[in-house]
Amino acid sequence: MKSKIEDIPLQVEGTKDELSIRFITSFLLTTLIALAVIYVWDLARLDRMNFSPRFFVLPWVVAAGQEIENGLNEFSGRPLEPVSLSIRFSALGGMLLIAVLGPTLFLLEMRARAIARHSSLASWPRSTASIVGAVITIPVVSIILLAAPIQKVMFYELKEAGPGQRNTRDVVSGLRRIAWDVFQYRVKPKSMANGGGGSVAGYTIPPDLATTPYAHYSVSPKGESIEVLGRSTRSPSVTITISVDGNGSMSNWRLGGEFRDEAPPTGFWSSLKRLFLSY
Amino acid sequence: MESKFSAKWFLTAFCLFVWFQFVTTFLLKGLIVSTIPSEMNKLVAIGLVWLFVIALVLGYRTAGTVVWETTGGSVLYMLMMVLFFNRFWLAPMKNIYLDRLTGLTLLVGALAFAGSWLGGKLFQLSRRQEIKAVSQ
Repeated sequence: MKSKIEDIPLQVEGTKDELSIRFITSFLLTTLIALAVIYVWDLARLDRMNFSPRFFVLPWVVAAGQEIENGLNEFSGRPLEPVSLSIRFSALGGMLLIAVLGPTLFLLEMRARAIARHSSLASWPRSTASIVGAVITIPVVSIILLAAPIQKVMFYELKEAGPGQRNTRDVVSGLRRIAWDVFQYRVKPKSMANGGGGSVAGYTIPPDLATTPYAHYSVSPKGESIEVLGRSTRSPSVTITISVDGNGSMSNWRLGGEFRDEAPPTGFWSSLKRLFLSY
Repeated sequence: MESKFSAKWFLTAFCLFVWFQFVTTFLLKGLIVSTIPSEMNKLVAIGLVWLFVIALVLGYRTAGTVVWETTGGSVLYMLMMVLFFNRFWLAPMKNIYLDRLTGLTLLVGALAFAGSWLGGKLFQLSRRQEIKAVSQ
């Protein structure tokens, strides 16, 4: 019977022989494929090739870039040009690579394993192909899973930002009309209706200016000026307060609430809830 | 312990350097150099240290039996870098000359040799301590 010390050899015998030739071949082949991809990628990055596969694995990025370029061309009044052949091949190649080739290689191997219930390393070309498929599929699927919720949140953020800005402009527009009315009040003599006789004291907002379809306004005297508060009708938490002097000049702007149609919920769980409700 | 040079481990070491050294530094380069070009020298230095660490781990895991294979793999790896990826790896060394390339290749080989040799010694040391602990 061996002693405990003899059970622990100082050197590991046969370490050099533990690698099978199939494993080495698969490993070397996968490595060389990866190097070739990086080499071509790097060449393209330095514009040494006319055909750029920079976004080859993300065809929707190619499409989005083309969409933006079309929009800029239209905005500049330039006629739209046909999509170049390299972009078409980038998008098509990307789609074939990530949606057809990668998943096919990967899923075929998974299926073979499920059926045979043994490792597929018996055939090195197949195992190499499955590794390539996994290398293509897994990162892209990860990117898609991450990008999808971000895209959805961004979409709704942008959707809300537009009406919010319009609402703000409507409230400010009412404030400008009131400021002009304050000036008119000051310059009118007291003998006239709604005249301040050189002072803003006693100013009241006319009913047609106090309430508009977009906001409610109220005033409060503050020395030689008047403080005007505009509150959004759509979002009551949204307020703009300004000071108006006798010349109708607006100053001391203070903004309250958020300038959106609806105050969006904040926080992770609220954003998540909005995300799922939006689907 | 075998003394014969193993071609299998030579190729495996080369592949391991590609995956763990080149690919990682390539990704790091994308993160760092595209925004901070001046940091490229640091990246090269980090890359050399990282190569030493890989060799160390390889030497430890193989009990120091593949020192020359690791060295050969690292030299092959470096030659591949010089021939095909020199723009990437040697970007800060513009107008690089043959003597510098030779020096760099030798440095990489020496680092790999030292790393794997040290890894083997560390393995032996840990084994001896294990034996000592068991015998007590």
